[in-house]
Amino acid sequence: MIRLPWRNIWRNHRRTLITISSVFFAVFLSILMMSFSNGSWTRVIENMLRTQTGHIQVHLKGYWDDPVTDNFMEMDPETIAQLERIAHVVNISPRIETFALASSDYNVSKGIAVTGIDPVREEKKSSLPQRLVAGNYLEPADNGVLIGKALSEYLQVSVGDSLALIGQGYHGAGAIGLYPIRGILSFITPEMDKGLLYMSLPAAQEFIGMPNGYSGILIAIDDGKALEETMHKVNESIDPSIYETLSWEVTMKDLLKQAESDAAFSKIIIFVLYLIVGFGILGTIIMMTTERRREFGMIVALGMRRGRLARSVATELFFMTCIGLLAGLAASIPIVLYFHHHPIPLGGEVAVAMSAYGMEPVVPMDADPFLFVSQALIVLLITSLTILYPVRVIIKLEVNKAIRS
Amino acid sequence: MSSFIIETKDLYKIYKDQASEVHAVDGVSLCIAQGEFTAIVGPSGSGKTTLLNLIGGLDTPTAGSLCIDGEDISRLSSRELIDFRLHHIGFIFQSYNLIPVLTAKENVSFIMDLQGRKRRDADSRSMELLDAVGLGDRADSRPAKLSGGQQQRVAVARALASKPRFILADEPTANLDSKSAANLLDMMERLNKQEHTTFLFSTHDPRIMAKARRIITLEDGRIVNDIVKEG
Repeated sequence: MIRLPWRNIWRNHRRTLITISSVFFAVFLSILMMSFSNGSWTRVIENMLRTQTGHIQVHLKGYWDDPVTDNFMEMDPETIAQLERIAHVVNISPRIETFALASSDYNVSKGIAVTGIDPVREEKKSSLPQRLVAGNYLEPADNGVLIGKALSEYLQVSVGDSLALIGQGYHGAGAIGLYPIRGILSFITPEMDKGLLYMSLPAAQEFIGMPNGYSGILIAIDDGKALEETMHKVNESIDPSIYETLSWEVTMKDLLKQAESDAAFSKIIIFVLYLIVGFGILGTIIMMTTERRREFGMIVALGMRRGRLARSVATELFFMTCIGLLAGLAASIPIVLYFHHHPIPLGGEVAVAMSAYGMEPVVPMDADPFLFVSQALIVLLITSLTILYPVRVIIKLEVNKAIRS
Repeated sequence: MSSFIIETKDLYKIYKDQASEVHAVDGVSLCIAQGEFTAIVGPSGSGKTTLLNLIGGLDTPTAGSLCIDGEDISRLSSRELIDFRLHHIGFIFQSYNLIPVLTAKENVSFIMDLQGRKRRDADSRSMELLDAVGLGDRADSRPAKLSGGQQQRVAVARALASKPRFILADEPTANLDSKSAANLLDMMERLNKQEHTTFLFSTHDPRIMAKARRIITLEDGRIVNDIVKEG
């Protein structure tokens, strides 16, 4: 009994076209929107994690809740090397992050964030060297510092001058030092430009009085989907009673929230699209059901069971939905794949900002197969819900009245 | 077992609303035997169509018994009634009511498909029936390509397709011109005489009344006259 539903589809071309078009545009637009939204956020987050914060951070237990110098950790080089050998790990970045008061010869001082880095490792993963506007990048055991351009202007210093740093050392010791300025960096974000100072890890460890001390170790991986697996392996390599392992979802909570709120906004728009499409399809189905009420009555009078008739009508809608779905997928998949492999270039300030953070100013579309499947299933679910209307009409049909309607 | 294929006893169909009761069928008792060619006549609102709907299992009686081939169909569930109609009753509606997306042959074989008959048997019987109603050459035409008279002939072929015990025809000539109506009636009369197919009409049409061998007159839901013609 495929013949009857198949022929019924082509009985009213305009109605069929409206229904198929509704399904087509729902699938097509929702896939493009979700693909663009997911793609842009995935790119931003991945870039951020790989170049800056890492997917996983290892700290001394309690540091995340109370990030003070006394909660800094020590870790032997062998353990760090072991972490580096874990599958999917592409970069290990031991760091020191603390605060200090910076003063220049001109009796100008400012509270700043001090970051101790391994210059060689940092050069591989971040764009720090490219931000230099004056001077040189740090050597591995350099005792000099890099500062933001705005900070240099505030403190009235330039390359070759020295800065005095006063801060809190490990276990209550005072942290004091005089450091020559090796280079001036330029950051897009004003807060970073006027509040950041980089020094080599050995210099930072000496500054806080803690050789082999780190505030944390940042671990970047090559595949975000391998996060759980890698965290598990990291935990096996360290002593969990001493260290805490945090995923980026914890350390980058704000970014995640922003991504989630953006995704929620996209979902609201797509939900509105689904509503419009759903009601569009429902409208054509109500029209079809009303037009064919007498025919339904006649068919039941002749001896077709209501369930069979309802299945026949549902099959019609299923055929139309499948045509629209396949057309929507056929139209959207090549576009998504193209922009996945040839990301959309960005212009203007956004492009400048992304470049400054070492990110390529492009937005690729997300080509995750789940996205196609999920959108197709949602649209299928919506049309399935609209099928309930004619099914209900058929089940409740008063045959003698329908024949005379 | 009764020799009648249709037997009603004190059959009632009462429609109620808040203010009043309408007795559309008011205590009708009648019997129809195999091979009858009977017309139910009466003014509009006399209950002809309601009585036909009750006999055809399209409506349920308020009271009374209604036996088809000895089975009280008023006790059947909705689903059982549908199956009963499929195997025992042929319908011819006033407005042809063919399925527009199926050809004449497919409309006829539709009933046999529902009965689960083999496609080849259904096709050959559909062609036999279309030949019998003079439309063998229009088997592949869709209803929209057929005249009103031709569509009603297809409807007759469809009604016969399930080999029903009787055919209910509700105003079958109402939408036809006089020539088409006369041809259709001649054809049904021939089927009745040759195949002993039982026809029960609801009609105003004097041409049907002229051909019918029994005329049952209804007024206000009651049988006021039941005449069997001589010869």
